[in-house]
Amino acid sequence: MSTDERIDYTLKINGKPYKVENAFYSENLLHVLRYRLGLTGTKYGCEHGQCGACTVHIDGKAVCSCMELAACAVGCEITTIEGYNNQDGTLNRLQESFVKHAALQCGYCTPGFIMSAAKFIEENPNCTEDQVREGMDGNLCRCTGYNRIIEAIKEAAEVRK
Amino acid sequence: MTSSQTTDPNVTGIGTSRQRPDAVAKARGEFEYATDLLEKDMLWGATRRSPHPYARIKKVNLNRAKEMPGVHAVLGAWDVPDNRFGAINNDQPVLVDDYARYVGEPIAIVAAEDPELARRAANAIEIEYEPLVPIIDPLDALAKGKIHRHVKYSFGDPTVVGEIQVEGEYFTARQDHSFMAPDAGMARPDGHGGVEIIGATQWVHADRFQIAASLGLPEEKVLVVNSGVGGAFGGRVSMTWQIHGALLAMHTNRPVKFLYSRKEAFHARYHRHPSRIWIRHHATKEGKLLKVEAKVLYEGGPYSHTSAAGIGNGCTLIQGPYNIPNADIEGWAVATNNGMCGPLRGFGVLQGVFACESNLDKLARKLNMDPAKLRAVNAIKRGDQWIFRQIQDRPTPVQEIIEKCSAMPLPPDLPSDEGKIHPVHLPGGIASPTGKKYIKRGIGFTSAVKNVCLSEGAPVNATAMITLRDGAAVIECAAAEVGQGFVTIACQIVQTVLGISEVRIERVDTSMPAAATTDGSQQTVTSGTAVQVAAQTLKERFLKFVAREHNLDVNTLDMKDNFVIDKTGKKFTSIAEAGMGLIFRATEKFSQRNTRPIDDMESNDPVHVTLGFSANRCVVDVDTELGLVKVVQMDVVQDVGRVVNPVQAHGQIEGGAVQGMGLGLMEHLKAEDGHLLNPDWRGYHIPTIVDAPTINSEFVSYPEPGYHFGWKGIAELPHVQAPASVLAALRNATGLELPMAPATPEYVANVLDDNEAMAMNVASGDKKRGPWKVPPPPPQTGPWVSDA
Amino acid sequence: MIIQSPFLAVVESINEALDTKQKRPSSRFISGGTEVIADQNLGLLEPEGYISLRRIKELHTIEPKSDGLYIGAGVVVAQLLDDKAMAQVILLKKAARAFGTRQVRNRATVGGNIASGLPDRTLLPCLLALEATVHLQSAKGKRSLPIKDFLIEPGKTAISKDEILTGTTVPYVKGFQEYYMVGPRNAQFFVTACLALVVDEANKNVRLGLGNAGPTAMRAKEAEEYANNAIDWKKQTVDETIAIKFGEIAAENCSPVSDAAASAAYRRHAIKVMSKRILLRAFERKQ
Ligand SMILES: Cc1cc2nc3c(=O)[nH]c(=O)nc-3n(C[C@H](O)[C@H](O)[C@H](O)COP(=O)(O)OP(=O)(O)OC[C@H]3O[C@@H](n4cnc5c(N)ncnc54)[C@H](O)[C@@H]3O)c2cc1C
Ligand code: FES
Ligand code: FES
Repeated sequence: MSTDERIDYTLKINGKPYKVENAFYSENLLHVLRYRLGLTGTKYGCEHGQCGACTVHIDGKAVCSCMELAACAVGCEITTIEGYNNQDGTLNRLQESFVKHAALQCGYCTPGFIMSAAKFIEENPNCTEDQVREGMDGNLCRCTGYNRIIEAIKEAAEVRK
Repeated sequence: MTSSQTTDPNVTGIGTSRQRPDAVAKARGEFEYATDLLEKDMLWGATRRSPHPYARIKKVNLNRAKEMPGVHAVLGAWDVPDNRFGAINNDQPVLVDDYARYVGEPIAIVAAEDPELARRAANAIEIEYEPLVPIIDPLDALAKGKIHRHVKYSFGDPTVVGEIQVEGEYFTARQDHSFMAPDAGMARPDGHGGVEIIGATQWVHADRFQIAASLGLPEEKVLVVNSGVGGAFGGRVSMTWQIHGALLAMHTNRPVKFLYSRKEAFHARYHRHPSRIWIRHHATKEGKLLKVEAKVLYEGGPYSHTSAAGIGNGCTLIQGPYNIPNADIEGWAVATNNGMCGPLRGFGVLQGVFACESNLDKLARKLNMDPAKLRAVNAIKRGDQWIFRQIQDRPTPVQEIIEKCSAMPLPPDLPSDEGKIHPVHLPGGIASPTGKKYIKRGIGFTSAVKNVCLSEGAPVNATAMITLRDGAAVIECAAAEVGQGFVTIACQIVQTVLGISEVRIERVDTSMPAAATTDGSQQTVTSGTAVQVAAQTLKERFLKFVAREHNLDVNTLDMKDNFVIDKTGKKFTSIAEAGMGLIFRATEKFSQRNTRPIDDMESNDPVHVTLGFSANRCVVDVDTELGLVKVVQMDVVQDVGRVVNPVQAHGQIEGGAVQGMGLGLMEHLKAEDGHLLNPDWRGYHIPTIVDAPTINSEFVSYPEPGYHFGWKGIAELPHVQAPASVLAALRNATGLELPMAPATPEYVANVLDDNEAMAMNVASGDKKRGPWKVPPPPPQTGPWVSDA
Repeated sequence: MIIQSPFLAVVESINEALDTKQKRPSSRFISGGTEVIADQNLGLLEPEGYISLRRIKELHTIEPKSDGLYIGAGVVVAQLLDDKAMAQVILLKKAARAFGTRQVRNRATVGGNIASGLPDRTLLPCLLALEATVHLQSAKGKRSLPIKDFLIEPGKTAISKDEILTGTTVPYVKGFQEYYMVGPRNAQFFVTACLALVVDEANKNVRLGLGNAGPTAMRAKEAEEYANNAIDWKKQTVDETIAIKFGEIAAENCSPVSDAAASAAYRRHAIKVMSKRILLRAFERKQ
């Protein structure tokens, strides 16, 4: 192993700079967020792009952090669920809707769903059930059977009227 | 579902849809799961696994890995104090010593400073193998006597012959749990020669027992803590990294974290037993069932694990929720080298129900009878006897369920104007080559039975402790929360019994007395009952105190709405004040009634503690030429006893139905020559939000005797019957037999030529015998000759 | 350059990229990373260094030109759905809608999709049917070649080690364009088999691109030839027997594989049925 494989860089996450030191160049953003920076709200599900549990926003786009080389995100605005959350500990409308509709059981898929739904709703206010199904195709849930997740997202999108 | 089914954080007590206590933390990503655990100074574990399905280990050299910088421990089989463990029998090595018996079996483990180093060190271990010929075909395993359990029994007059007979051979694939959070956790030295294991499990106490034994420690030296669990579905009954983590933590004297990749989890997990079942029903011309005969073959892994229980479930509940006076049943769980098998939601029952329901479909067709009617006519009733000699002595609303389900509204047809159909509603989804004129609608109807609680003599009990102080209660009960909602339900129970609103439940670990395993849909009826009994005792103690303090007759007092009240309902004083700052506590154990093994002819105990029932009507749209399917709707009616939390109960049904639909349509973990072909989510497909149908669920609720609040276990039934229901609907649309779940597009389109059919193996490894090529077994012998 | 380290470079121009590649030939280009990093995480590849092309602005343009629509290699699939200029190449817009997942569409690039050269990639049969040209550049210079000559075998393309794919030019074709796919479930990638049909009204021919029907994405030449002759171009009609035959010829001349997802027989069958239906659809619209 070569020490050259390790690099240092700074990421801008939720508006704040985070120093990453001595990391392998090949580490993905999900890993760096969770295990180097302790931002574990972003979940690890598959690390190959299927489940969306790892969804974050990079420069305003919902993407899978597991397929993002962390070092390549230098200079980008990264938002994780920690930064998306209301900072006073309360729930925002989308999250409230998830809780109200019991759109979570084990909850492991939830932060990813919230992060991608947030962008989806922004781009599709007042969406229909069909649009939710099409637009939320990047997140898997094994517990709920999705019906309640659709309800939750639809209602949260309506509220924005 | 209807949107009126919402949760509320302010409602209390049994029967309300109280919001989960962990909902807010989960929605904010602040709930801590096993994968999230981090600790200062922690090391990362990695596992070196067998690449061979069956091989003799000639040599293992750990030195190269040990010499790598940043590596703190490299351990092999000889480092395990007692290298045999198991859920029931100790027949499984913690780390392989002599023979590796499946691809992915752990051989050596590493702890290093970061995961990449650990991975590289594990790869650097040198292992010499002598590959041997694996058993990959369950029929071969049977012929060679590799049998974990053989079940054989008959009932009534097994020689009875019906006017009408239908038989078939049915198959279900190896299904993966595919819970969202892969196996992970932390092992930590406790500083006193013991070890703490924090991870995701369904039963902390069973884990502790196995870990302690392997480490050569007394159980007191091992603390198992359940962290946040990201789904379980039976999969977390089987231990994976836990003993490895404990060994490494004790060797390095540092916390060691394990985190499996998805692919590793596929190899390390114990999957649903693939099944191959021959079944024949005898009936009268009117459709009255007279006899069921079956040969049930489950493919277990190379080690016994829980296979014996699985085949027991299958060989009994293959009866379905029907009254059948005669039976002749034989079954085997056999050992192959295709990977481990263990519990998965609907353990052992799903396969039997699939065969039973599929064959009843055939019977209905033969009799030209409505499938729901056929089932209603044969519905088992209270007082009837099961083929396993158990009297059905509890409420049995099978006929009612069937009728209620049939009466639910059907979905409208696809709009005739093609332009109005959104592609998510089309078989195949977006860019599907289908169109209205290619689509046929099919409707399937099934009913099912599932045992609640572990069966056949397994002790089922739980202990709960409740503490009341200042009008608020804390529950300690070691029942694992895996997402199913026990944490909500336990609080609701205590709210109702003690008449208070503020109730909290503690995190689960082995310092508490044991509770039941989160298995067999039994937590509410077992651990929930323990909580109720403890709360009841606590209430008596508390009211006795209040009565004495205030010189009142205890019999006139009750607790309600946070007040002590008298007989007339008049509020006497708040519970908080009445307690005078003192601590009140009660601990109670609840045990379910005893059960007996199937073949115990002496005992008159039941085989199953109790049984639950459901009916499912499934509507599909099928492009029959291409085999593309859209499940439009599933209507489920389930016997749920008294409902503790309606939204959670509906949630269990919806989630279970979609998981079962996955096995019905797409989930098939394939193996070839003992190697898994699709061990990741690129290759193993679970339903997406586009695939999920609309699910309408309704309850039938009769209080179950034996439990103060009359509740019943519910979590598995929706999954158990969904594959059968989806396939019934597909048969209705296509007219094909479709003997196998999942019915992937090529099955539904019936495009299976000779060569390809061989690649499309059925039970994994069974390449030569696709279901479409198996001749029906000779009537006298059944499909296999057993040398057991 | 945004990052320059011995194993990772995040470059800002094509020249920087080519320079770096010359110095470190074993480094791999990476654009969206949706294939490479996923493969890395799955243990399917051991990386020996990466050169990230994502920050090269000149690769991100979609530009109508006289010979067709120029689409830069760095354009992501989401842009294919949203960009106004895409109305001129409706086929790619349709295919983009069926591509991966929302998150993947935000990252997966056109260049990465083409460069992978894998038979199941969504855009390849479309680009084949549209007769697109791909543009390559190395330190030695630029070259362009038709997409059909670019695809050689599974995962192997005409691109040489020191070359970058800079973009593709997609000719404007007037006429029906459609993309069909079948998969093991109703969403998220996993093309069991797919195809794209372009009807070139001006030149009176049809062009059918097939995905996952052979070692690479391919044109169904024999079927096209048959249809070109059989179609009544004046009346603009196709009757069912022609469509059936079209499908049969397409199916006969492809060579799909069997794998865990589906058998070769099913893939062949799907090509047959989809070809038939897509041709019927193309001409039924006309009436
Ligand atoms: C969940 C999921 C769903 C997917 N769905 C689809 C789908 O529906 N259809 C589909 O076709 N694919 C799909 N893919 C695969 C993949 O996302 C696409 O092929 C994507 O277009 C690849 O683009 P990329 O920029 O991410 O490629 P990268 O991963 O960055 O690179 C892919 C390959 O191309 C090379 N490369 C990239 N850019 C260049 C360049 N400019 N010059 C030379 N070489 C280059 C790389 O070296 C690498 O070999 C999916 C992947 C995932 C994880
Ligand atoms: S962890 Fe990134 S998509 Fe599953
Ligand atoms: S709630 Fe468990 S995976 Fe979605």
